[in-house]
Amino acid sequence: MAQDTGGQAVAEPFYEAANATYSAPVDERHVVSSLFGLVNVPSGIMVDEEGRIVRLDEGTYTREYKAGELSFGTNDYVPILRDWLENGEESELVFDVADMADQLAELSDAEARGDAHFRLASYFKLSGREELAQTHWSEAQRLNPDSWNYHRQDWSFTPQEAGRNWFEKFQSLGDKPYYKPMSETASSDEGSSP
Amino acid sequence: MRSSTKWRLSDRAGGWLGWASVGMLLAVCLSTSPLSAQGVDESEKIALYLDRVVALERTLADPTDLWVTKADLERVNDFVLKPEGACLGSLCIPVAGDSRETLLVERGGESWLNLTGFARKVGQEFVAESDPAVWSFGPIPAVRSALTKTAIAPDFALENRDGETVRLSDHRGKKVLILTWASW
Repeated sequence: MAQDTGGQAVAEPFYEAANATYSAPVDERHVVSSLFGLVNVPSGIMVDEEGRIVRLDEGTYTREYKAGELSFGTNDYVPILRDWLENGEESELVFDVADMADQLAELSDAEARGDAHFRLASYFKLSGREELAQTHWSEAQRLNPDSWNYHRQDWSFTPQEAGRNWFEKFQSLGDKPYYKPMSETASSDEGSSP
Repeated sequence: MRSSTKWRLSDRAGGWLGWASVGMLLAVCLSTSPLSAQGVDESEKIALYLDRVVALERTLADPTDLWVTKADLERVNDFVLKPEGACLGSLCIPVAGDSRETLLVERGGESWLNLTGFARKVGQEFVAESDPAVWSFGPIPAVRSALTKTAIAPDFALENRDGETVRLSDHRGKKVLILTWASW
């Protein structure tokens, strides 16, 4: 699912290159990230047949990718996905309701207000009101500085600075991970399956 | 000073003017307190919530709050006005007789809900611009807590690359992987 204010125009070349045969929506206003509290891409949400979330992960690349001295992603995600597809709720790699609910955090007031500002910014951007869009994009980033989605979407409109902006913020993370570490087991106890 | 000048008039006409002033003042107070919502406003106003961009059909003229009709309330956030309050499924928020803030009024033969006052009541963050008039609402905590308590994925609708509307609920009965990515 392409999460991109640029919409179909920027998403389509990627979908074409990927020869996408799956459902390929375009999320111009980051609706899915807002609903599920996502802060980075790629993120993956596994939803079972009853509509229940059984896993939610960040950095869901198909494998580990190297970019100079940096690496992104893990070789673990595809095996996790395969295990769930084969074993369903019996998979030891998916979470039960209680464990999953614990991971789905409530939003702080600042995050919720940032969400409202980002929605307003996206609306103005898509309406061609650049100045108003910038005002609210800045406010969203100030209120929720941990959302890489907010920063990177905004930076994408000044591509000559985007790389530098990203690297500076990335460096400022220090020991904090860029992607929330992916759990390789569903639970430390035996109650991982419903 | 003007009103005190009127009060100094002691003849019948002066008395009448004085009471007229009081009457006008009362009329103003009745119509502005505890709310300042006045007549119906048909200028363009937009409400944003979740995946929705709702062009409101009518509002009440008010310099601070956003008043919407029952129909627009439902279009914005699915809440339905019932005798027990504004309700979404089994969740009902009382809106009549709130001692802190007036949330429900009758104007022009229909009910109007103070949507921004309702947001304050349920702890929903919102921001607005006046020109153009757009209100953007964040998550309603009591609604979002359904996600954080039951882990049931909230439904959403997006257009796919063929211009068709895709809903998560279209895939109920199948395993679904929602994978977000971006060109940036």
